Amino acid sequence: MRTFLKIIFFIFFGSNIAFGQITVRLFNYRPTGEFGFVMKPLYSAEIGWQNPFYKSRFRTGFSLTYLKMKPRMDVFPVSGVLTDGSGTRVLPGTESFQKYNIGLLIVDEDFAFVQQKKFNIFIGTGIMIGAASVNYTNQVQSVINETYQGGGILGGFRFRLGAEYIINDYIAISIIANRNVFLVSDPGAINWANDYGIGVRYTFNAKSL
Amino acid sequence: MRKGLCYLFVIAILLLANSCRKALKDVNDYFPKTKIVSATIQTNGTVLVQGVIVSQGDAAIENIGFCYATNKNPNMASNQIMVTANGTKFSATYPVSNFNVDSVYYFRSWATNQYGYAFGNTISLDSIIAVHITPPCTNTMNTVNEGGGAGTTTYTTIDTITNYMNTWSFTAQTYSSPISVVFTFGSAVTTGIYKTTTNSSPGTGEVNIVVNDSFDNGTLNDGSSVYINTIGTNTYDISICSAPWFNGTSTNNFNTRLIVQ
Repeated sequence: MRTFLKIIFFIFFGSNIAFGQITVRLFNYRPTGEFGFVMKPLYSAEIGWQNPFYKSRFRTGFSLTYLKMKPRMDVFPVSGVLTDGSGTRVLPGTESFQKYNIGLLIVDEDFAFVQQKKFNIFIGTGIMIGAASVNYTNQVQSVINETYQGGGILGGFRFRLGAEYIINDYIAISIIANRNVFLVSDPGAINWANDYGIGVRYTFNAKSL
Repeated sequence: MRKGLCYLFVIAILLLANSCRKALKDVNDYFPKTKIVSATIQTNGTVLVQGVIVSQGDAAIENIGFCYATNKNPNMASNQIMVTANGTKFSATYPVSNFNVDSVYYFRSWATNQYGYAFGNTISLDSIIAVHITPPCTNTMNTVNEGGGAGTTTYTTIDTITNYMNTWSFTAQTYSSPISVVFTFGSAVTTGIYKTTTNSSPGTGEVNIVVNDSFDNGTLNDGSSVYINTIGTNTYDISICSAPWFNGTSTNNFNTRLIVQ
C-alpha cells in the first residue's frame, strides 16, 4: 500500500513540478448508502495537477488522495440463520473493521458552463482507481467465520460540481462537491460517498501560459 | 473527446441516481427496534410473551422473536423462539416445562434486518408455576370406572407419554377385568383443562380417549373435560369426572384419575 502510494505520488508530483500547476483540496468525505452505515465521515486532502480553464471550457486534472476510514461501531451486531436437525435458528455474531485505508488516483475532466475572467462554474466527471488496506473479521458461530487482512482494489467514477475564483495569475480558490461511485470494490463495504471541500490551485509558471 | 465526455456524464448521472441517500445520523437507527410489552404466566403455567415493532430500521425486518435466560442479558440464541409478526405485534408461548419455580427468568425480544440485529427491553418473571386445576370430583388415584355398573379397578400399567407426529399418547391398563384406556392428545400435555373429542386426530387442547374392555369398546363423547395438573417435571395428574361414552349398547359415565409421566 505504502509503496503504491509512493510510486503514484512521485509520478504525479513530478508531473506537477513539470507542468507547474498544483492543486490542494481539503474536503469532508461522507460515505452514503450502505457504506455510510459502516464508516464515519472524515476530513482528508487531495493533491494533484490541474489545468486552468485557459482558452477552453475544458480542463483535465490528476489527483491523489488518502482516506483513513473509521467504522461507526467498534463491533457491528450481525446475525446468521442456521438450519440443521434441530430446526432453524437465528444466531448472533459480530463484524468489526480494524483497518480500512484507501488510496485513490483520480483523473478528472471538467467543463466550465459559466466562464468569466475571474470566475468559473463547472461540472466534471472523473475516473477513480485505487487500493485499499483492509483488516476485518465477520463471525457468526457455526455460520460464518471470516477474517481478512490484506489489500483490496477499487474502481469507479465521480461526478462533481464546483466554482472557482481566480485571485490572480498564480492563485485560484475553489469549492467543489463530488459524488463518488465505486463499481469495483473488493473486499466490499465501500460503494457510495459524497465529498465537499475547498481547494487552492497554484500556478508556478503563470506568465508562460 | 467531447463525445466521450458526454457519455461519461450520462453514465455518471445514471449511476449516481442511487448514491444520494445520506447516512443516518444515529447508527442505531439502521437496526430494527422492538419492545417486549408483557411476559405473563398463564393459568396452565405457560408464559405468554408479547412484543411490538417500534421501527423496522433502515431495511425490512428479516427475522423476529424472543429469547430468555436466567441471566439478565439473554443471548439471542438462548431459548429462542422465532415468530411471524402480525402487523406490528408479535407473540410467543413458552411451555411450562421450561421453567423452574425457584428461578428468575429474563425475557427479551430481538429482530434482524440486513444491517444486523438489535434487542428490545428485558422483562423478568419469577415463580413461574401453573395455577392448580381443581376437578369437580375426587376419584381414587390410579383407578378407572367405566360406568354402567362396573366396579372401580386399579391401573396396573401406565405407559409414559410418547410424542409422534404432533400427537402425544399413552395407554393405561388394568389387570383384573382388563380395561385398556388409550389417551391421545393433540397438543403437548401440560396443566389445563382439555376437551374430549371423538376425532382420532385431536386438535390443540383436545384429547381422544378410547376405552376397551373384554366386552365393550368406544370413545368418550365430544366435549367432556379432562383436568390435568403438572405435579413434577413431565409428571401429570389427570382426572376425568363422569364423561359420557357409548359402549355399543348403552351410554355410560367414565371416571378415572391417574398419574402419568
